[in-house]
Amino acid sequence: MSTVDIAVLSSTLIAIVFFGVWKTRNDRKLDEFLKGSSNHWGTIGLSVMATQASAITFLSTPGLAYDSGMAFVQNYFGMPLALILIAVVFVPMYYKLELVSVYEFLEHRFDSKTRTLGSVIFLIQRGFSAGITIYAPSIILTSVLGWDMNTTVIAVGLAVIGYTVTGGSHAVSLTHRYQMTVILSGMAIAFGIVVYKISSHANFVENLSIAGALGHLNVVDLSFDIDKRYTLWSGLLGGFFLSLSYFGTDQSQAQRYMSGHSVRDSRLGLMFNALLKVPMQFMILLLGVLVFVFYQWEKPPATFLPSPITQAAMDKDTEAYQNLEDAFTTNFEIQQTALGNYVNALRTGDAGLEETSKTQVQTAGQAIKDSRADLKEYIAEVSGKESMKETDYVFIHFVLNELPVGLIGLLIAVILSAAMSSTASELSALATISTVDFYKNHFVKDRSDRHYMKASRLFTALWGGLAILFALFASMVESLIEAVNIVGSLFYGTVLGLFLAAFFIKRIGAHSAFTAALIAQITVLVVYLTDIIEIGYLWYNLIACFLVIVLSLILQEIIGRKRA
Amino acid sequence: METDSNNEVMASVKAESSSGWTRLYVIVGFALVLQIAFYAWMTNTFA
Repeated sequence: MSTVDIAVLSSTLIAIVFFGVWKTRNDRKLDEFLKGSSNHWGTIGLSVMATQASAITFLSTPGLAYDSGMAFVQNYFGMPLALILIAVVFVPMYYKLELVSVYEFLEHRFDSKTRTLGSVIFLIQRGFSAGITIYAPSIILTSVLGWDMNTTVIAVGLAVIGYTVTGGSHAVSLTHRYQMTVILSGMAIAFGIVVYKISSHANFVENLSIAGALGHLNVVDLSFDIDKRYTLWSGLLGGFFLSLSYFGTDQSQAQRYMSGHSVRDSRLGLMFNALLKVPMQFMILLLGVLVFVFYQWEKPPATFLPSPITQAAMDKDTEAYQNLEDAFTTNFEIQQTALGNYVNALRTGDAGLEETSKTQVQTAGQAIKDSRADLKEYIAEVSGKESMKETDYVFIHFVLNELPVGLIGLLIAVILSAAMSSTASELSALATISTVDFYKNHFVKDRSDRHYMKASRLFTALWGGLAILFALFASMVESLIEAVNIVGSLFYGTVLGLFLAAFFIKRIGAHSAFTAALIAQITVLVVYLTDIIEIGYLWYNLIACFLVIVLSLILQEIIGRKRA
Repeated sequence: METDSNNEVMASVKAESSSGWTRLYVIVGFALVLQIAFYAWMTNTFA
């Protein structure tokens, strides 16, 4: 990275951290620290968006589109509907009860032990993922940029701890505004640059036709095939339940929209996301597709994996490596001719020629894909790293090699801002739950606000320290990211089941709900650990939620009969 | 499944509802439908 890039990167990040600390330096109110205070709906909207968008969103999502197209966007289709339900039902109730922790609602509706169960589940899954939120982008950036891993993790972690300890939830909301400004403008600039670069080969519609011919504009899949990972129906149904649990029952998100001045601000902040999140995700994926088209015209490396890994494979057997790379180059050259023919056919409007040249593009595209897969397989075999995810390195490769000086620093700032924004929300939420649901609720009651503020700052620093330690000692990034998703899926459903029962089924009492939640949680864990039934881990959300509700109703019936 | 429209949750929902909010939710839902229609058109046109 050039000096200019380093200057842009460090000044952007330092300015955001300094702003967060400076603006909240005089905050003395506990409520302001734990909840944030009187935020405008625009700040809430950006804060909710920044919490959800982690660094991996901006590193991996374009890479995912590069590899397999746009279908992933369907996962977000259920989200606006879930946000509407939360705005209509959850937000007014949370405001009415003046909640700081969303799990207080479980105590209000059921009892103290059910609240504690919800809080414990939250601390387990969020505590685990906070470390990964720092670790995952760090390992990708350090392997590409040659930075020291430990220094990167500690610097990012301490920066987040700095303003989160000083200003709590208030500082998190304020910094989110500027982090999202950096993120959105950086991504928009990258989008503009890739459009500009491919326009020297063909116009925008012709480039989209190339992406389509190569199977990368498969946005909507109307099939009812449950084996398919992304379809319209799984996106609407699965996305709805996933969003309902994430936005409705996860403190790291609820804390963001509950920091509003009124119900109105919280609702508008959520509707801001309901309107903009799907298009934003669509644009990030389209950016990945356009990078894919760019690398159809301009020769990419045969693999995007970082050079320390490829160099080791090359050193092991130079000839074998070279042969695989040559096969890729040959296929790429064939594709150049095919692309030229296809664009000419599109321009002349000759349907027959268009069909023939499209087939040529598809055949060459498949050959390129195969030769890349062969090389990747060889590298994995030689290096012994079978879980390497090449797609994570695509976008960062494009940024480092195709963007002008200055903008590279801005785009790295985008990625680190995203890492910091989601980590800050997690640390703030973890500290709030530790203080309100455990420290204040169970251990040290009736002390002054000042005392709880100090305790909350200490918890923020402790969770931050744990996240840094976890990131420093973690390894095997892919399996860890998957592990976070699995842990989330194993526990989210139980909490959602409890909240749905609490909100919508009046007849369910505290003992039934708590017992049902315990049984559901144990059942899901046993099924997962023993592999009795082989199902994708995302289904555990729905199964646990369903079990909590059905078992609660059955138990309630039994209790009712005994009492009668 | 028994639900009680007079319970606390429904009371708070009613207290915070208005035709303005309903209109906004309909607009958000309609925007989602429009987007899906656009994406489906895009899929059919280019894929």
